[in-house]
Amino acid sequence: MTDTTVQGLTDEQVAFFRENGFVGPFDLYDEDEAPLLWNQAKIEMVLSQNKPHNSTIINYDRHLDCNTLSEHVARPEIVNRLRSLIGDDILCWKTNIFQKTPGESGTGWHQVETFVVGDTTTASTPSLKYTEETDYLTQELTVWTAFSPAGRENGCLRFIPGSHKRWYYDESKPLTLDVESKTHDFFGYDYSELKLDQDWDPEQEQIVEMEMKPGQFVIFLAKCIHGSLPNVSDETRLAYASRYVAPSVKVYENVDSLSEFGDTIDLDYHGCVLVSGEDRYGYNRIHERNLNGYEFKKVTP
Amino acid sequence: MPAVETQTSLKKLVDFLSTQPETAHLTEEQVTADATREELGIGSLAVILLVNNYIQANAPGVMIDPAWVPRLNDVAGIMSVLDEIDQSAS
Repeated sequence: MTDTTVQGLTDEQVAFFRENGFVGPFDLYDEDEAPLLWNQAKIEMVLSQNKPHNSTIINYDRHLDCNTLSEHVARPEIVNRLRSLIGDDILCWKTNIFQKTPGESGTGWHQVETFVVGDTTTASTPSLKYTEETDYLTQELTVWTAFSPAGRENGCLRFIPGSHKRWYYDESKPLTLDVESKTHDFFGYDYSELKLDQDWDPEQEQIVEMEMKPGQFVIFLAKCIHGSLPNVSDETRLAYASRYVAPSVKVYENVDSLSEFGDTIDLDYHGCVLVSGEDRYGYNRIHERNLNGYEFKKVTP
Repeated sequence: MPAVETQTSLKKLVDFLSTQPETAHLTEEQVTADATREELGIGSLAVILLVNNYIQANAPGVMIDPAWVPRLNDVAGIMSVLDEIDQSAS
């Protein structure tokens, strides 16, 4: 069990999230500590004897074999704030590494909810299937933690506040992969292909640039349109996104593998991590320990 | 670092790299003290594996220090890390 004394969100922060679709940044690690923690995670990733998959392109779910990241996804500073938005019962279902090297372009605007990306997740077999309505503010949240400076020049996150209130894109449609094309600025895909109104220009909307120091995190809805600036600094920007759902959400139902970014991984390894509360639904496989045998920590409300 | 020590550390690194499948092709002329890791064609993750292999061969039990990672971007830094590993083992 984990210390639960860390505060959740204030009423003002909850109201801000409800209006804007994101809230933060919040301090998690000291500015000097964060890069060292990432280096430790990097060492664990390289030397891991229990890799969830062998892809070097699809960098998902290394919280399942790196103890440092296993600990990170269940940090009470994160989980208690999530509880204010999603309720006490929370699963971590996915993590991604977002590395942006010097000179790398920005990430195009995108808006998702069921995470249909690539070839194996489709409108009929999305990554996430919502099975019921909720009394809470949301059933899905992303936490994006900076492990290096993430200012404007490094390629910080950008949000269009309030954009979670309606759809600007149709995420159920397929995307074409073309890593050579400059317009395919969403990891090789051109997300603007999915715009509901092709004349709508997100750059004309109000934009919030979420500058963050190493060790800070921001919470947002994947449905809140987001992207990032290019990295024009001489330092690699490193971030780790951990994604959470309520246990009523079915994860990768009828999805056995992921084909994305030109590579494929089997999902045999996959399981969710219960980081808070209880799973009263039993829809998803739950990992109580990571692939090294490390026991995941859990906040008990 | 004095020139003699630099030469000793460099020789140690060159000899070690010649034992590793991914770096065995590198010549003494290529592995100079002012060369960068990228110039040698060694990836940022591969260099961690190299350091781990060095530890397994020369200093079993030494743990890779996260503070070493930023030093592994050039030959001078890699040499200093190998020296530190040797000191930890002795």
